[in-house]
Amino acid sequence: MRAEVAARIREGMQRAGVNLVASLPENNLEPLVALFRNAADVIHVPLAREEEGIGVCAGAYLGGKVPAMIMMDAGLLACSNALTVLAVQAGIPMLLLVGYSGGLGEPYFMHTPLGRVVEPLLNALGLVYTVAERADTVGDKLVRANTLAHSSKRPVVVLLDGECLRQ
Amino acid sequence: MERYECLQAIAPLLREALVVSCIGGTRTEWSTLAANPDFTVHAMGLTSSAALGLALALPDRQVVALDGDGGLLMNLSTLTTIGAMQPSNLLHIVFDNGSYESSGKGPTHTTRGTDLVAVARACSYPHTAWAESVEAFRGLVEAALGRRALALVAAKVIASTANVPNTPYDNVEQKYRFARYVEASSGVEVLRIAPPAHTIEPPAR
Repeated sequence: MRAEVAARIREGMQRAGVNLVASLPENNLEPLVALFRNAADVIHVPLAREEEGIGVCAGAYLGGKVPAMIMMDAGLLACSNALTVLAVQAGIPMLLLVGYSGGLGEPYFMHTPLGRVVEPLLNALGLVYTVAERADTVGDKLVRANTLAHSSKRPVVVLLDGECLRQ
Repeated sequence: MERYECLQAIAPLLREALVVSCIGGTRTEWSTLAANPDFTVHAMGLTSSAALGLALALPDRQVVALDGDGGLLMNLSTLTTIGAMQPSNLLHIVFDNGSYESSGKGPTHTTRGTDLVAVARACSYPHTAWAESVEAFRGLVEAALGRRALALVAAKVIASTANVPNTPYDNVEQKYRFARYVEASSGVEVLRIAPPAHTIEPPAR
């Protein structure tokens, strides 16, 4: 992810009111995660495993925060139970920014199985999602996704792809 | 030592705290003792993760996680994240009955050598202790609440649940009750029925 795109995503999250971000590092996501590591206006929670983040975001929401999570799609798969049994079941909103590895343009064979199951998984979980590929529209997509998350009281997913993930 | 007598002993100490509970007998027993609405995390293992998020969101409130050995073993990485964040307003309580009591009563790895207090200590929890009696448990909890530093207090308890009424709320109703309690007692907005103005889309032309 280019620094300029990371800044646009950060601006969109700020506009959406996000003030707590849980994340795991990944090469493409690193420029974005780095913007939150020492942020004064956002609480950043570095995780050791993605599923923790669904719990952290749920608790933060119940404490009045507007939570978001940054992770790759591999982590999303690991969150399936937490999303279903905690976030969807209790009705807890959170904005999930998910790097879409394994999709179009994926150069690494080991990620391609993920690309085949990410969208079917989101449909099976009943989660609304959108794919953000362009830097000029990603900020608005994040704001609209977070608005829906809070009005529907459900997690909403923005899959980061194209220039919103890679160079 | 029984979990219920431990919970009875500390209930008067937790009247001002925000309590996040795990599922199973802990949830049922605590719901009969709680002075204020609490929240149950039904995704096994994530009790302390949710308590961490709540503690970070409300640094002026004392947050207490009521956890069990089975759940904590399922999400051991939570100890490393909590240790890294060091929330001074989080008290992590673990009832170790050595059993997946609510799901078949099979033994957990704490019966095979895992010491959860030692693990927490190795993950940078500054205050950790096993309670050897109900009185000691109450004392350790009281000390932790007065210290305003991250702590984990654990107790070896027998695998049994007190004969108390089942919790009368599902998780949705419990969420609303808890969120309204947080709003009223902490002065923050949680449910946001009306969205922030800047996120409302202009009408279509």
